[in-house]
Amino acid sequence: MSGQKIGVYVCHCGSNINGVVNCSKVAEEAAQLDGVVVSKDYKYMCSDPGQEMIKADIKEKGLDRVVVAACSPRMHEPTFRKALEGGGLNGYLLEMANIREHVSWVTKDKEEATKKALALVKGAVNRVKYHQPIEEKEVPVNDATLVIGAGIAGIQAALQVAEAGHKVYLIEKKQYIGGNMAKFDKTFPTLDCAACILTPKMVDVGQNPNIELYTSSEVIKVDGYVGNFTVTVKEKPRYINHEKCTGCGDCATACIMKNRIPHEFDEGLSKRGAAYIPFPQAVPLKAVIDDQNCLLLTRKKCTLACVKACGRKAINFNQHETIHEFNVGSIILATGFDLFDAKRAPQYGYGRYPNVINGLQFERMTNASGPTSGHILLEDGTEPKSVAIIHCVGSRDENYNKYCSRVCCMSSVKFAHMVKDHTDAEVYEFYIDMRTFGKGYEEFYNRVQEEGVHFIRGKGAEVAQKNGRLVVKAEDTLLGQYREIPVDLVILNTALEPRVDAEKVAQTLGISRSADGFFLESHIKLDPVTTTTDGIYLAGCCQSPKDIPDSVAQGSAAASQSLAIIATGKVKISPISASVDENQCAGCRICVGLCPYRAIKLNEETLRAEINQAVCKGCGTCAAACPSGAIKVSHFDNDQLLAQIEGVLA
Amino acid sequence: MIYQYYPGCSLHASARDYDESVQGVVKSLAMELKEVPDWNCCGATITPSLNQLQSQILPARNLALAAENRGDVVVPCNACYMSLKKIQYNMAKYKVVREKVTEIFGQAGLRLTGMPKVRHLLEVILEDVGLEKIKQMVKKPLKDLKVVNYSGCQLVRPLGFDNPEDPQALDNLMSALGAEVLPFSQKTHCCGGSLITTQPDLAFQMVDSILEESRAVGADMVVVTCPMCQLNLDAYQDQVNRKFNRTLQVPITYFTQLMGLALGLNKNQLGLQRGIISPFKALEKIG
Repeated sequence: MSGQKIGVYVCHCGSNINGVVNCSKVAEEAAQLDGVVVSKDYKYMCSDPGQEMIKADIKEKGLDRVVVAACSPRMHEPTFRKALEGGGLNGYLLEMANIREHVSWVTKDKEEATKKALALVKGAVNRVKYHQPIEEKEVPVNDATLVIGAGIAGIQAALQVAEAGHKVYLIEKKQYIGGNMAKFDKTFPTLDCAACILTPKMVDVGQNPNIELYTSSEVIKVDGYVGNFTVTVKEKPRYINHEKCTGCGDCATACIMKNRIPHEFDEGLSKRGAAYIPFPQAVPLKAVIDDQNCLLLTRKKCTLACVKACGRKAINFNQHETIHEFNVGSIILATGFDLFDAKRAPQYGYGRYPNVINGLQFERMTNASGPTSGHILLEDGTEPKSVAIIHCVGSRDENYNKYCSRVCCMSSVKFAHMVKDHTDAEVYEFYIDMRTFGKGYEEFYNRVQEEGVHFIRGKGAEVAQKNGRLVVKAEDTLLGQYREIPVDLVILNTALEPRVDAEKVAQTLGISRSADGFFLESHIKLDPVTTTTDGIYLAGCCQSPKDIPDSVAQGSAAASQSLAIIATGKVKISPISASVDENQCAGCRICVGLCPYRAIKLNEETLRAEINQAVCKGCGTCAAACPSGAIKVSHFDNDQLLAQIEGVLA
Repeated sequence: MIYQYYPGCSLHASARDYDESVQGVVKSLAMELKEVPDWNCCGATITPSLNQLQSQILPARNLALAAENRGDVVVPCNACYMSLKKIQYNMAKYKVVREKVTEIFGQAGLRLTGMPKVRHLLEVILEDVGLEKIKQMVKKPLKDLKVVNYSGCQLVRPLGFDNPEDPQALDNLMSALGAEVLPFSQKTHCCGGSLITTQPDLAFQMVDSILEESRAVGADMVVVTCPMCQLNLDAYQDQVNRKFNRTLQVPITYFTQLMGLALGLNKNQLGLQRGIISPFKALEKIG
């Protein structure tokens, strides 16, 4: 390759790169490379003047290829492609050398860093000579949206898309919507009752004609790409005819398993039957038959008291699971969190001593429709005289989760207030440090301090039983003393964790998870709602622990991402894809089994592999594996990669 | 199975009863223990406070000696167990320790040729022999004997083999031998260690809370896995009683002593007569 006119631009990124790499030296040496006609270094290449410089050089010096040595292409490749287009060149005639993440941020020695940066630039210059113009493809967008998970974040997102006039398929694994928030009593910092602010939204979901709600359902397969996903959903049988059931609860009263099964919604504090109504404000307000405990479904033997009791004849044991398929343009994932199982931290006595409960159990206890009708009671039915609240159980702890769960400080303060409000008990809060960071939060904390709650700065170390009473042990770091405080009730404020099936969901949707197990956003600060897979967005606690205000905000943000691509009507999809040279393909089918996107099929007539361009993501797995070298990935072909390697090693 | 035995100083002196019961039990289990030749003190408790780095030479030398022979190093003492494991961890993790140890070894003509696996005796019995086999070997179940199991701190953390907050190994073993295991929240609390000589007031409090809970839950005895714990709980019980106005007489027995009884060994060969608080009255329950 010769006769080309290449421009090289080395970015300082302030001191991010130039503090370690000698950028002007890299530019000087790059100027000597074959084909390079311009080589410059500049403080911020991504700034307007930086981009203008590229555009001007293309026009004035007739550049036909450009190399930018700067940050990761994940940051600014689109920026510089646009700059090339502004100068009249195809954006794919650009190659970036990543001398920030790959060099300056990970190398201490300045000379070594400069040497490595230059090697990467040489590779990029060699490679760009083989670049060909590529036209981006545009495809029409399906204007329906799939929302997975109907907690507060998913509800918010679904309503917002639906209210804008577009179809939403809302999928919920449980038999009712509302998620964890539906279990709460009061919400911080204003102490509105959770049901009062959530139920109107739940009712809206049930009534909005644009929302198709599927409870007891799970997404089992996702095919396609942004704008054109095909989603397969499995709906479990509920054994109740929704059209006929009025939610009267007669079946629940009749069920012979009544009061024998721990009720999930009350976090095990109450018992239900195999036929039951999840909770009084449930949407949909329909009975549920629990197939794990129903005698008929498990042992094929029952008096069928529920069937006899149901005046509407709504119970139908012949229901089977149903498979649905939807076409949608984008997907909003709002699957929420699991609560840390306090039994994993045996030092706190959960499950070992009576009257040690977790935060959600306390929420149920204070809820007027909960198992104690809103009274804070010990197991013996009396009111506690002193209560301990322990922060950070399972959070900020090397042994369990390193991260802060963000909601526990405020919910602990709220718990303290609730105890003070409902009883005459003394309240002791054991905290590492108070993180009351939101609007109105610090004020709420001050208010509860004035209510006479004892705040003890020291992580609760252990809950023991002494002389029949619970004792919390902690080092009071303000007092500089070890303390043992006897109490009647201990509330463990446990961590928010990724759902147990998060990995399965991530694989089904083809998205990533961060080290803590939550779903990974595209950029933690600037793109916290999108995933690295186009058209799939995140909302609520499935991305990281967050409180109600933040979950609602992210639900809205995810909805607006969805609405944005619907409004555009079409999306650009990456033109980088694989293709098969029919003359070289031997039809061995190795690629067919390897393709993670199921984009390759064997043409039964020609006996050659065929790649569906709309589905192919250009990952290159097939090209690497093809024994006869028949598969080529555009923009990553052998000539380009070999030239780059040669350049780096030169 | 052949193992290398690192008894540690105590088992040749103040904890002869432990050593005697260990020898009896391993014989019944067909385990062969060969003492590490020319071993020295593990460097626990006192030396680290004098010189952190040099204190690591002591355990490192024991490992160097053991590395020349075959077999895992079996340690009956929690403190030795932790010292030996800690030096392995530190040498793997910190270059400065590795270099210093190698340097001093060079002067003494020693070489560290490998890293033998360091295991506590309890760990070896449970993992290599197994509860099922032990259950079958029980000749005289510890029926009606109510015990609390005190693992102590160094067996389980920071580099131990069992759950550090609620260890299960000793509970499982004692249940397999037929004893009634009572709930005990002091399982892994510190016995005070060598603070018993330097800060007795503090250590006495620690000993008292362990003994007092064992009384409150109704235990016939406290079962231990460490000669240091045994010494503090047994030999100082009298002083602790005086200080806190108590009348406790709780026998502190090694798990190997009870195991020996259950496996049908003669009680006179298990060092049971050496305990300051005699366990014999409590042991009448099992005949």
